[in-house]
Amino acid sequence: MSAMRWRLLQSHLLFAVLMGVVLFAPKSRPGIAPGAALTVALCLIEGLFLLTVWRGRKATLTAPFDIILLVWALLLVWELMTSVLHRAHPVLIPAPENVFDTFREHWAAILYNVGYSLQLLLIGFSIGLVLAVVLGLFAGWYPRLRAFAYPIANVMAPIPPIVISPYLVALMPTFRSASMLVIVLGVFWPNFLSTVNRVAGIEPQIMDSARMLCPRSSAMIFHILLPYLLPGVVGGLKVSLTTSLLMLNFAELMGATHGMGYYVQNSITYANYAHAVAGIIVTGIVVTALGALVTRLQKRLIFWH
Amino acid sequence: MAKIELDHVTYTYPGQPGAAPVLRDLSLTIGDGEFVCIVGASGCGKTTLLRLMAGLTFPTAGAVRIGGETVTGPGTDRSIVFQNYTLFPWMTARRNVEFGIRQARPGRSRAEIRGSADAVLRQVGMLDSEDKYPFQLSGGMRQRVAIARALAMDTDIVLLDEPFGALDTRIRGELQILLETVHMGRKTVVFVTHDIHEAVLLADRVLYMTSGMVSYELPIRLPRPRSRLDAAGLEQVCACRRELLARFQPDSNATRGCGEVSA
Repeated sequence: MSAMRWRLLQSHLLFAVLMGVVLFAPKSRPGIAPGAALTVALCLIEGLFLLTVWRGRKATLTAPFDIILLVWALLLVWELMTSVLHRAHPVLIPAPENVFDTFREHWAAILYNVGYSLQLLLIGFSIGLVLAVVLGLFAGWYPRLRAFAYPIANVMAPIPPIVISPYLVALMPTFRSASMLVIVLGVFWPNFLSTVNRVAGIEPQIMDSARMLCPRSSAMIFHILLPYLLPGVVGGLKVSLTTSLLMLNFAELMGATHGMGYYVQNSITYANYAHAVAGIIVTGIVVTALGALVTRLQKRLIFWH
Repeated sequence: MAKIELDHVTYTYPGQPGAAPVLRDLSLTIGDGEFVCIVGASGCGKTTLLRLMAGLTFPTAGAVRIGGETVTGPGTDRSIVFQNYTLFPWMTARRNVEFGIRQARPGRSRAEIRGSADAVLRQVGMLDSEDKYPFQLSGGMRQRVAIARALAMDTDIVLLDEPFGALDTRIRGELQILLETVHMGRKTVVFVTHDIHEAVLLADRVLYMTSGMVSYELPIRLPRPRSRLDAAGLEQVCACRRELLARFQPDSNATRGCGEVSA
């Protein structure tokens, strides 16, 4: 039997055990939600796994198998400890059935809050990034401006916007504008600094060539400097995006009335931990999806790197 | 008539005021339509000389004048080919060439730009690879595109800094012929090389530089095109080459014939 078949068998054995427990084991804990949503979720994970294996068809492929084994094992332990054996805290640790049932029951609210957060994120992120690149370009280009802005940026950049976010929330007229400002600040300073550094440290050969071709300043900016900066900006995009989502979630913990952070916080306030865990899972999925999107963008935009 | 004039030029690297100057009190006149080759050991100031003419850097003392005017920066009357390929990595070969033309000759129409790019890419043998990006090209191919970009700008003055170093012998020969053709269209060419044979073959005048000064110059009075030299002409090339070698490598066997030595 080939190694691949053996690995497939292993993971599917565990999958079968898990499904068996979910579908047929008697529930000992009261208040367990119907298992339909959990079953669908497990099937979706299985489908995703098979798709990954099929796309990566190679005898040396191991990662998806290892990961799925861990996922099934954790889910099995979770399921056994909560709904079957009733060994976990009944309120603090919700059963997987209840967590996944939240998606069925609460999908509209979750979708709304994800959309709300993403909208805030994308607006704040775009403003911060565009400002950082445009201002960084000028500050990097003109030595006097650089000498002026660089020390200031060095002081401002390390201040985590999260630290001042409570103050910003109090300061700004709406919560929406406050959290947007947190994101703008969080994205702006690091990207501004790296843009200044990249413009100031542009490869001398590229610079000499560009100067010899005598571009007008518009050509210099749009055809030389911006493409030259692109890899740095796009390369840092993933980190920037993830951190800003983190900051947004954090900001939403304080007095927001919409958004993913609010959803989790609100569920915890009402001791509805199934909803809270569901919200955390969704946050993870959103971050991963954004990351994957950025990776594809990187490949398209900076193919020459 | 003087096209390029260096008037008592001294150059010291900025930030090293006490260091020995790279160029010391160098005066030089290059005529309109002249082909000058500069040879010399590494570090003798050849590249700095070229950068001064290009307007990429400025003399510590003295003046550089082009067509009588002091150089204040790069201009559309000059193009340069650097020693290491300096294409823009985000543009295809063709876009690199067309970008150069568009910047240097803003009045030209799209079709004209395309046409000139076609012609010059064909001349350097890169038309088949026009849609490739620099990272998809070999070092020699990139250098050919860089040469194409400079020539396509159709400037009065062409500056080249060891442009053929990365190329194989056949391509090198073809590009030497191309460069001579360009020069015969009334271009002033300043060509830095460490290859004495190449210098003699191409130049109207060879300048030999040692430690920041032109220590010797040799006019080469041979008919053009040099690719069609007769036996007498070839013998003259050998004689010039021997003369240069004898002067600067006194230890070497200066009486060797052309065929026996690869410079």
